[in-house]
Amino acid sequence: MENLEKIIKGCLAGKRISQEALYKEFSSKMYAVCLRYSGSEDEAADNLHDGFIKIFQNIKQYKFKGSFEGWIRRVMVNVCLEKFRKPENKFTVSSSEWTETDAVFNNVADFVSANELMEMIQKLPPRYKLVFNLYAIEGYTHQEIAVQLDITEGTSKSNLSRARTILQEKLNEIYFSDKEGHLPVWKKKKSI
Amino acid sequence: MEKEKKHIDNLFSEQLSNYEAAPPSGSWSRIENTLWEHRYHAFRRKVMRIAAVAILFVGLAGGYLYYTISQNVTDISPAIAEQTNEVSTSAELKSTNLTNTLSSGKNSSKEPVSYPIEEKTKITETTASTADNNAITFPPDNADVETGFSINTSSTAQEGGNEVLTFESMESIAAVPVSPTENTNSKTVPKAIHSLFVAKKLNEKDNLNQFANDFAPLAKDKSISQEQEAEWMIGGQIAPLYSYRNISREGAVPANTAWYNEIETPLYTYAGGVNVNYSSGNRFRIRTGIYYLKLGQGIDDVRAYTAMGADVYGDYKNSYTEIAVSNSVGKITSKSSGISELSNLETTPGSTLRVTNEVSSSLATAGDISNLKIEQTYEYLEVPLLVEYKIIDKTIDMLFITGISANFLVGNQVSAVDGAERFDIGTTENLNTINYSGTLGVGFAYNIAQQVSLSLEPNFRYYFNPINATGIFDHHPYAFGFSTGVNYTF
Repeated sequence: MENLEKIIKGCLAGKRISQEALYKEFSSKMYAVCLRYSGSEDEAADNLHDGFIKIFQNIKQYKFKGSFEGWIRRVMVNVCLEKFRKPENKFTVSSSEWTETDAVFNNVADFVSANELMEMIQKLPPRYKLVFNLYAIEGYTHQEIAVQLDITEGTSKSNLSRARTILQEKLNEIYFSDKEGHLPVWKKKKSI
Repeated sequence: MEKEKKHIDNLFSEQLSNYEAAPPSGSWSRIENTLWEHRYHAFRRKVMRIAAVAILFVGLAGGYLYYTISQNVTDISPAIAEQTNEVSTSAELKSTNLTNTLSSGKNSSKEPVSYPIEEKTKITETTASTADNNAITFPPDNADVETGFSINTSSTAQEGGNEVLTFESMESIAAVPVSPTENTNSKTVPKAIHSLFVAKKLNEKDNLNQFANDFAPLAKDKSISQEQEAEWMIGGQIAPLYSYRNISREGAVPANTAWYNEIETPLYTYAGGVNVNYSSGNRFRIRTGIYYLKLGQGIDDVRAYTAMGADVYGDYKNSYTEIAVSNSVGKITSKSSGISELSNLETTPGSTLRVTNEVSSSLATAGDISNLKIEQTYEYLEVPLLVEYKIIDKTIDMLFITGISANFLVGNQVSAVDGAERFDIGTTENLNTINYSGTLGVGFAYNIAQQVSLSLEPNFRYYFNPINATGIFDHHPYAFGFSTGVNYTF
């Protein structure tokens, strides 16, 4: 912790060696964050690059209060969201696609790796992916998501629900294909 | 239902919230390059701002000088008109009075002589004046006083080759138009001199010798005198210095230059010495002397480790007793005082660091940063040859100073600084023993006594030739100084 503080102070002074140390400390975690919000590794690498540049340029805004990792994670997420906010990346998702699922989920977690989960998220449609990440992993509320993505709360809820459905269906596919004989209770309404 | 849905959220949250994935190789290099670009643009903006301020300053200074000169011309214009009228009247009156007064003199019957007035001829004491009742005699201590103008009298007023200011000449001066500036020519006289003649309102009761006594000190006055005597000046100066360097070499990798610009920092040092100045009597002055000055740089990127081959770095004195440092000047040779090994780093930005010395090498990854700082200093005896030009000659003189200096290396030290502690750890190899530098500055001088003045000189030194004979860059130190000193004129 003391070392991290020294690195942060070095970054505040603009020292390149400290910036490199900070990058090495957090790049893996932040790249994972970028992967969750991106559709490809290239896009994730771009977001990682832009995120760290933003961190180094704005590190003075960190006041040594609260988790530093939480702070840089928020910066990274915002960078990913900024990309989404660009007009060319506005994806229209009709609310009519939303269907309230009654899927039942069981102990699939024991049989699915983090890499597989990451891959599933990456394959989600862009806005479903954003809403699911923000709600399920980052802990944002629908109200906050609506503000961040410039959508209504209802749209946020419907996107989340749709994302869950898709993910559950994907999980179901994996489970049935890999774990035959350990049939979970799935009530699949429709497939993607 | 909600519980089941929450469960899928939790599944992803638990599995992915702390998920890590190695970023693509070259990711840091890409970030680093962007940072360098940003830094370069920021530096360029900074330079542009400084240049803008400098141009503004020069413009304002030029404007002020122009205004000052213009104001002087404006100030004396009404006086010229007024005094011209007065001269006409006074000259007519005096003409009559003087004729009567001087009727018994040898030259009293002579017609007024035309007195061409020439620049830069001296009025000297005359030995012939005792034989001429109409001549003004100057006290002996006024010999060789320059007045900025002269009067070539007729042969009747000249004796033994010495020039004599006659009463007629005084009258003539009063009738000559006043110069709008202090520069005289053959048709005008300086304002102050002219005013003196007019103000005296010479008549038959005036005592010419008394007038001469009045005139003499005035002639010494700087405002009248265009030329001053040749003079010598000795003094001493001390100055705090802001010392840094410029590194360059044809074909150098920009990233390497940027790397050393990043890890090497300016150093605050000092300079001091004695100077001798000579002025031949005009606004120019030549200065030489001998100064001691210390230049150098700091190095922030210092690694401390336990032993050669170690791949863990830490803070110095916390069992990490060996240090490694890289610099742009040249190899640092350790003389070991509590530090068992000192090595140079061979480094490429974005890559691992290779610690090397003569006997072994190891590959180490960047780790903790030592709390040490290295200071690399070079001490010189500087022998300058500077030219000063007095831009403003007022209560506080303003000088422009420029010239070149020879610098002789007399010291070379590398120190490790750990907070308040300092260790002498070695020297830098292959430094040139003689270097040449240029100086540019502005000086301000204020006379606190007749022969004693205080000086204040912001100045800039730049070393023309690289101070290092080897190394990966040509290393040109420079320094901003703020000299203060005392001078004695004789």
